[in-house]
Amino acid sequence: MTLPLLKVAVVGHTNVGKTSLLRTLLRDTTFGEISDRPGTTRAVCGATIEVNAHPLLQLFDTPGLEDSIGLLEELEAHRADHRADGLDLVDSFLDGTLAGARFAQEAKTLRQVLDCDAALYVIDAREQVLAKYRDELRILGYCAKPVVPVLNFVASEEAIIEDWRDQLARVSMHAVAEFDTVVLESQGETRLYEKMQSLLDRFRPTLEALIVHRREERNLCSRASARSISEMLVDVAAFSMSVDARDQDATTAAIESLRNLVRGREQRCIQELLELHRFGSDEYQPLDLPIEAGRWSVDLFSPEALQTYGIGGGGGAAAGAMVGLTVDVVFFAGLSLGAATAIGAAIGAAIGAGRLPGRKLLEKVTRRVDLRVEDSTCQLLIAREIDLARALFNRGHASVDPIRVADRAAGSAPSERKALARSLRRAAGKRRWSRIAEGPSPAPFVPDPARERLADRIAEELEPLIRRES
Amino acid sequence: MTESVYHPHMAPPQESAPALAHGRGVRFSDRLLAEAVRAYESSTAEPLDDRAVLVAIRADDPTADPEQRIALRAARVEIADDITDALGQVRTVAGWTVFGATILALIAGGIAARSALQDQTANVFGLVAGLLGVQTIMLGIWIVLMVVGRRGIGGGLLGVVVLNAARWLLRRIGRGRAHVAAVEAAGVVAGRGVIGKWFVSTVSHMVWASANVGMLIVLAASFIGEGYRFRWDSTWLSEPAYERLIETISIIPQSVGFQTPNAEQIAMSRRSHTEAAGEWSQRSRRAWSWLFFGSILMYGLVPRTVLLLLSAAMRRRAQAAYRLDLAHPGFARLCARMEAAGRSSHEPASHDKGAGLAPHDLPRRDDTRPIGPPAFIGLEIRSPRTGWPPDIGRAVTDLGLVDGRDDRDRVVGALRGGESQPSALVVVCPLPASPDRGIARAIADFRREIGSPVFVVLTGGAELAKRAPADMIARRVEDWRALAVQSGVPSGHLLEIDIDHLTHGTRAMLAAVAEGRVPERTAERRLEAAFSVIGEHAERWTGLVTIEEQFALHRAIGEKYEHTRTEWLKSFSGSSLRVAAGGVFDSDRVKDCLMEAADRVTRLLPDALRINPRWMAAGAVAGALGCLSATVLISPVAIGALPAWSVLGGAIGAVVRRASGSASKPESATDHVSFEDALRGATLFTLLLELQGREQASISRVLEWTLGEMDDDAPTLETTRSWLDDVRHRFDLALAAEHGP
Repeated sequence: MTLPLLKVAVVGHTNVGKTSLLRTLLRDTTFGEISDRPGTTRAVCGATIEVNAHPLLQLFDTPGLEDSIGLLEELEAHRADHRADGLDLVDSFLDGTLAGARFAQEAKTLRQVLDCDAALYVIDAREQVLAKYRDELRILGYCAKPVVPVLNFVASEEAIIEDWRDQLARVSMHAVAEFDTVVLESQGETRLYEKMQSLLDRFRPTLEALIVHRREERNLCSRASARSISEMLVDVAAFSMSVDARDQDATTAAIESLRNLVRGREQRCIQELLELHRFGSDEYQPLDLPIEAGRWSVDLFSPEALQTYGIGGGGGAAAGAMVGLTVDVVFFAGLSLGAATAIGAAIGAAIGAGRLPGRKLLEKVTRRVDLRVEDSTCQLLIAREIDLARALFNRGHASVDPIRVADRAAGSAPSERKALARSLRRAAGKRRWSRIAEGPSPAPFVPDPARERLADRIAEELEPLIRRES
Repeated sequence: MTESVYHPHMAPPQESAPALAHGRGVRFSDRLLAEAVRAYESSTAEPLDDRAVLVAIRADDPTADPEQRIALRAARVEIADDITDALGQVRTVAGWTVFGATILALIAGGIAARSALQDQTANVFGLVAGLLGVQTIMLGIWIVLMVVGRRGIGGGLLGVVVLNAARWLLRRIGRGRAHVAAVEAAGVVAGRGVIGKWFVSTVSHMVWASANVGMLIVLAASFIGEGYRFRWDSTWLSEPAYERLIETISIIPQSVGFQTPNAEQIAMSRRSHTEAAGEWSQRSRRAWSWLFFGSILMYGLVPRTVLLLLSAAMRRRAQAAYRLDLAHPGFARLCARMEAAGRSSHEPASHDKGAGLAPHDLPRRDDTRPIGPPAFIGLEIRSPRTGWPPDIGRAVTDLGLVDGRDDRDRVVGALRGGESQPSALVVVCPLPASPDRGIARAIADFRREIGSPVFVVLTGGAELAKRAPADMIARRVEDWRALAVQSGVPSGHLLEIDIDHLTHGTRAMLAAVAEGRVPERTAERRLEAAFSVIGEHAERWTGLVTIEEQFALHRAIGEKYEHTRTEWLKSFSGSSLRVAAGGVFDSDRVKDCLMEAADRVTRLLPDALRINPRWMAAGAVAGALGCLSATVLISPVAIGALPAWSVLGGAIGAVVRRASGSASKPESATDHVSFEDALRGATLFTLLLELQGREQASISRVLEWTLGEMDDDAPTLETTRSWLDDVRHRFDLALAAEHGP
């Protein structure tokens, strides 16, 4: 026995966010067309949610009901026969000529409702309760299908939820769902399906399967996001570039190239996060405050970025060309003298002309230094990507506004970032742990069990931060 | 519902038994390929173009689960062949490395055995300790590693050595992206779960078994060709202990039929060369040699071979149990894409698109009734804060707030049955609401009943501005205009007037409308005068501008616009600040008022300016100082009651900081702002005063055209005049564009 397919029409007044509701339920930023203008959807359009290749829920977007007062008048004019019930009225209206002309839009919607098992009636909770909405509910009542009212824009300050609930209770609609299509609240969707369950006994298992599916998908998504960030962090922390310390030009070039590689790695992580949260499609281009065209607008290696997140420079006076970077002086066979921050841009000069005793010896053994990113850069990456993942985690697929990370670094406390950055230090100097590839034909990256353990551990620490409610 | 029907898109946790329904028919090699393709994709910024593949996979087997689909996709993407070849190469390299190690072990085993047999004397200790002892210890280590070792590579030190050699080779052999991906995938697969462990064990046991074979070959060859005496000199071991040791070793070889030395033969091995030379019988030699041969066979080769087979079997099992980790970002992303590719959008048939919006411009009633007072209808609006109907300074007919069929019927009846017809019918509609056909029909129905002009007034602009940017408000006004035209109301008869916030100008507009005429805008132009005031003040500023200096400028600009002052006073001065005039201002309340005024102005700004923190700061300055100067213009004594400038400066600083976000300079936090911010603020204030009496959307548009494309070069003391000239020029162009040809 397979689960029965549930067909649901999404109906409502014009411009209340029906298509937005579909987008969010489908996790599809490209479904239909949405705008702030009325009558954007002019035809019925449907989509199916499948779970493991089994279609479970078919949702139909319908044109908005615009003239319910006129339509109700029309329906009641058909009531020649006093024994006719609501359904008869709707049927005879749909057979009539008006259904093809003046009320063509409403007729499409009513036909779809009759063709479905249930209807979701979307309400813009910011609007005052008007007679025309009551008439819409009455007409839907005539269709003799279970109707679940869905209050949209409940996260808005202007939402008058109590008024609406009161009004709906008067027409015996108690199973009201609150679901903001722009602000995705983890429980909102579950509650919506539960409300539908209460009215649709036959489809209880179908809806249960959907609820379970969405919950597991959310878990999977947060796990994958955490993993994506932790992989990026390990790659960045482990990455280093070896340069000849006495060659100033080569050093400068290496600094720039290291930065670009790290920036590129962060960018890949952002792209992954967007895709994981189903915001990765080409058509979806959020213009945004912190992120421009899919990348953070403030450069990773700018003092401003560190300042925004209140992260102090790591070891000391790293400034200018060396912001966010540090240097390891390498002896034979990778034996390190440790971080020698603050050497500044002139690493070459500093080491070459250092007035150290035994300079010649030092020169001989330290021809090469390792450039790598500093703790502070790791902390900044942690803060930024957690913020982004959290913003995406709670973002409805109908949002067309920029991704706003309202409270910078709200997703992670400085102590948490520091702890994570400390764990990441284990990767420092282990160039082979980094997937960041240098040059056109890099050596293969062979996963190292210790590296995988570190990445796992960091992912485990990141996940609760991503999921933490603000 | 049965369990087998529904299985969510989840990777089973690695620890638990894998769900049986997952990956039906997917082999280990397919999964390995999928891992390699994923590794390949993660190494490149551009994802593979697989749309066609995803669609085809779905079409071929709509019931495939995510793992099957991932595996199928991996096999069909363009680079699959390259990666398969690369995986083959990895296998080959690994195979040859293991083979090499096996051969080496064979030789090493032989050498070890040979070194225990010298000068026709077999060193018993060398044979026992060297040939059996070492590998027994290694076996012990293997057992310990298998029990306590972590997941991933481990188990069998020799195996790890061999594997590292293979890695080393692989790092050097190929550099192609497919090769890199294949190596990574092999590493991932080996590192997850227990495959790696059993693989290393297999290699380890194979190497040891080979070494044992080497030993046995050398021993056999030696024992066949030469006669050996066996001896073991020991300082510590007593005679009985030695005997027990040898007897113990003998147990297993003996039990499978090998000859073993008896007590006397054992004792013989303790005697020195010369002593025993003559006593070594053929029998003793045979017993001893069979003992060693048997021991290495039974303690070395047989257990290693058994463990080799066991490890190989366990590895196969682990491979069969291997599942792709769908929580891995690479696969989770792919699942998202596959879901999108599979989502079918469909349009049910028989829908006639585009039908619907029939115009309602039906013939009007030929109304010959006498003209009465104007009539006001509030259509689907909330009761205004300032009361209904709006006070326009003359008598009006109140047809009430209309919501629903009964109300509409009542109004239509009143219009039809009245003794006079209104001089004009003003239908007030909510701007925040979306216009719909129902409203259009209602307006058309009202209009049909009378012969006098009908106006549509949109209220609630300030409310909408809280949640929508200026361009959306402009679009909304246009949608309403379209609706008005559709209901037979001329486009010019649609006005945006916020009934909740009536100003002198808008009230005058309403009054004009009530008389049945389209209001004209006849604002006197004071822009030039005001700009010249700005220029004069700016010349006196040095560096940072104090709040007091700015306030003086705003006040001077305000005085230039005194002729329209009642109008703009409303927009800038919060009533609460005015009420307090005469008394002492409470600085907290002043701050709230300034905030509100600043908000009101920044909300007026079009999007193009809102994204610029400079203009947001300027808007906040204009709002806050406009509010203050308005207050002082109304009651000049209020200036004495204002809080200290530093308090006001703090409040304005906070307003500016909030408006401009983090990009504002720290100096705006104190009681002065930069020259640039001060100049921009005063300019914006002037433009707003000049534009008073217009609709909100119109103000926003003109501001956008005037300031939206100003160069972002900061105006300086030297360039102030030319900067202001530039603004004036753009303002003229914007006004021309707004009024149209």
